[in-house]
Amino acid sequence: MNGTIPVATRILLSLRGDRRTLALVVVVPAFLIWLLSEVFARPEPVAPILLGVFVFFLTYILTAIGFLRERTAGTLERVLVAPVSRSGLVLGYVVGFGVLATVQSLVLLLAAVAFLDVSFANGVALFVLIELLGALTALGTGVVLSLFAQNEFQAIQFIPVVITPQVILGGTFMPVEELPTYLEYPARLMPITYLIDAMEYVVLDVGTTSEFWTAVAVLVGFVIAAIGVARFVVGRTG
Amino acid sequence: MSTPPSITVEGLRREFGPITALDGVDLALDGPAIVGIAGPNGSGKTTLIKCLLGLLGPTGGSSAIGGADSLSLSHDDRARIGYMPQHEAVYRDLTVRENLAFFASLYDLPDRERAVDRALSFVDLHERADARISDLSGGMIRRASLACALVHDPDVVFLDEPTVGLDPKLRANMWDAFRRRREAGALILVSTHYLGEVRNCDRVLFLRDGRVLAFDTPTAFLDRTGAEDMEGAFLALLEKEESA
Repeated sequence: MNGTIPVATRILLSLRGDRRTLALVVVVPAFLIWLLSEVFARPEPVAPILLGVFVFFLTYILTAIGFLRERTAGTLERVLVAPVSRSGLVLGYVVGFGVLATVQSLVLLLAAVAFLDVSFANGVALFVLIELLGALTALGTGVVLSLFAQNEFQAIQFIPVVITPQVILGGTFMPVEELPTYLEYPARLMPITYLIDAMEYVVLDVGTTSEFWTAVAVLVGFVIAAIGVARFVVGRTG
Repeated sequence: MSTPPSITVEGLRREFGPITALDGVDLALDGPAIVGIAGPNGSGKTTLIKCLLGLLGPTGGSSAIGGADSLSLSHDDRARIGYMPQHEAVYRDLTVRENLAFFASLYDLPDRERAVDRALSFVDLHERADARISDLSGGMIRRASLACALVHDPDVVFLDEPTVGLDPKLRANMWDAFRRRREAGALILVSTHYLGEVRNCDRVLFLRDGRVLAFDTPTAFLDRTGAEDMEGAFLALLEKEESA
């Protein structure tokens, strides 16, 4: 795909000198997990939620701000004028931020084992898979929403509007099935609901295998839809 | 190159809601030249360039580069186009060399390293090649941005306000660089709102409120209006149009 490797390499190269972002990817998740382990007497039940939501949240911030900068700095226009396919450009973002999300997943994995006494009932491989699916959904969401923001502040303003309701309704505080009907249906349309569902199975063995794979299938659908929409809107002639 | 560099614009219109940014622009350019697009802020210079590059779709009319419609430029058509946007348009966290290497990697260049070195020499930035963009002065950033537009040796070049914010010496250096590109066979479109600068162009397209006020050589403008400089010529043309 024309442009994928250069764009992915550029994203990772840009981070080399950006210590704050590196800290956001590597240090902050571990620190927050430690902090929560100090607050909760029995942290394991909340671990799936924290592990699922962190990567989603941080990947959204990184991609929304990263893509917004690309757009407002004029570099996106320059890339679009080059012989680069729109799919190649979006795939470059997927690969670049996918690498970051993988690093972040491994940091969270170690932090969860060290601070939350998590045993990963259904294996570490499935944990990384779910983290990546969550990150890729957040990536597509970040790219698309950044197109509706004029500056970094506006990109951050989407968090309470788009992400917080998902965290509140997605099973963090009560199971989705126990929500009133008018909230249950919207909750079933939100990716974080399935992220938490799948993570509960991976970490605590809650739910059945078929429910887990249903959640995985829905998350794959969200990834395809989010990246597909991003591919459609990026570089669309204004 | 397969065909000589050329640009054609026919009845190009572009509206943004109630605002008409381009109002039926016609233009035909063929062969190496430096063509200035001049006019006050908001006259439609950037919109014209973006429509030509296919970054904006027109609401009427059409434009083409090398005979290919702007909205359906092929891989090969794009490979011959260089573009320097009005913004910085370089990655601040990367060095000058890394920026050039990135943009060079978007084109299938046979010898990328040589292309990067050639572009660095062209803008005289070899000494700061390994400095991060964020550590450079405004003038150096503009030169790095110009180098990124030229790294793949394009023969149709669009430069949107390339000299804005530069001191007179750097501006003169940039115009020297544009002339060298023209001698190498490139067709260069340079937008500017410094009307005095367009004296450096072979031909000048004066835009006003999205319409072509006039298109001619700088000398012909001065002769026609009797003005001493291009700013005076522009004002005289405006006055003539308003009284017509």
